Amino acid sequence: MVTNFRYKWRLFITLTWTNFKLRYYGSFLGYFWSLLKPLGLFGVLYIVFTVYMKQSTPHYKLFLLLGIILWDFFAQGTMAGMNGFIGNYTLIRKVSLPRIILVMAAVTSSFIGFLANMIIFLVFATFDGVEWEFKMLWFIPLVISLYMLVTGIGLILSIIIVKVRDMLTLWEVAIQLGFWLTPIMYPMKLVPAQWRFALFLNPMSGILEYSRYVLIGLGGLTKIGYCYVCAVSATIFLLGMILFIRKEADMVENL
Amino acid sequence: MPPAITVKNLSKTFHVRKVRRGTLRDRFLKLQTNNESKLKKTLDDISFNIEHGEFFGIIGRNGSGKSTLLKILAGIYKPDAGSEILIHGRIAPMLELGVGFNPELTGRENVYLSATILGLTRREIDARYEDIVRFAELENFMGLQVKHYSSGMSVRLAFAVSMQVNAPILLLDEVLAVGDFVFQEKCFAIFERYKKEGKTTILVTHDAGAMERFADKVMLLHETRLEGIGSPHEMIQKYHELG
Repeated sequence: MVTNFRYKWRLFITLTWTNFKLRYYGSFLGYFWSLLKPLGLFGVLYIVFTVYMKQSTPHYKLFLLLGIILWDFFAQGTMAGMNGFIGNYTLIRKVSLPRIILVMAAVTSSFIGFLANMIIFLVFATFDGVEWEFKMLWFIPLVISLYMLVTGIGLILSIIIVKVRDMLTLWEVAIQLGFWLTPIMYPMKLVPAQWRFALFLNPMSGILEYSRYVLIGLGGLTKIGYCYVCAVSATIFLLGMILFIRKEADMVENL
Repeated sequence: MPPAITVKNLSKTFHVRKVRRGTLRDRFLKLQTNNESKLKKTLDDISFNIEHGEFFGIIGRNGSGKSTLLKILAGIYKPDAGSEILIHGRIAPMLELGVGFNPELTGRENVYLSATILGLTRREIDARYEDIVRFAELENFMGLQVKHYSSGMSVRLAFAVSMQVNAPILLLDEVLAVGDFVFQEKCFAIFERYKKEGKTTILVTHDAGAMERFADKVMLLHETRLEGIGSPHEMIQKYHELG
């Protein structure tokens, strides 16, 4: 039992690291290229919102940057998870291994990128005069929730895409729409009060809103909302795991 | 001592859909066409035992179910309900060659990745790395991405890695099909070693010579059914008679 767990752990670490390397292969700038997309988006949105639209929220820079970094992980991680199974078909058809690790490793390699981005955010935040407080530790459960949410969705998508190959396109559209329906570039308080509840049903809204509250002190946080986010993420995570394990044998044959 | 592998009434049926509905568009457009799936039997009621330390050969024409059988033994496919498989001892998680090499990674990285998949620890791989490279005769190519390898090169490397698995039961699918005669001789040397070490080896090959030389017993599969188990000579003759 112990050796089995050790084997799985070694496999998980090796695959995560391999995925991470593969993503940045063939380019000298490696990791920095991966920053280009979120930072470029950040630059453009920042100019549009502060110069054209005179957005005057304090710390708007940090507000926007944090939102984009969190959302970028959501987008990249779910995409990577979705491809984690079908993308490894050569391996799956030749070796018997716990395939759930393939999906989890794909998500986790995106997560490493996200953690690196968060370090950049913290550097920005320090320069922008954010004060370090104990309250910031409440960010950690939010990160764990985000990781579980992304893994759960990635697992579910990886099951669907075996049967429905155009899930890839559909999910790209969903991410595009989600980018505008989640309070990434606008604060929740700009949303009409009667719609806020609907927006908060999307767990990403809560993760973004509360992360900003605990890290930058913008927006608000309700205990119920915080618990909701953690509970929904954990549920989706468990659901993804259970569905994947139940469907695994079918998926191998349908691949 | 119980046999290393006991297989009783093993059958495997695949569901083959008449109409493939890969995309949502297909699903909508082909709604009216019936979606009955055809059942395709790949293995039909097969029973056999493999003793510990036996070198067990499997022959049969393409499509006779050899590979499916190995994949079931390796745990990749699940057999149909009612089939019984008992395995005593750890079975190596390996199959045909090119154990999922990633073309974008270098030879070295692929060695570490596949050896990890096969169950080795990093320290074990470090210790055996030189041997693996020497066996594959790729000393000068380990930094190269595998996509630039010739098919012979990647097969050699994959085989060299697979040889390192420390499991008492090994499954080998068509390992002799690729590679030149020098490499084949190396494989034969390995087979000799396995026999000496008392490992249970299951080999699928079309190479009658190798079968006669190494196999203790040969199983002949023909059109999903078990045609017979016996001495290599006898079974090869029967195989040729079946045409």
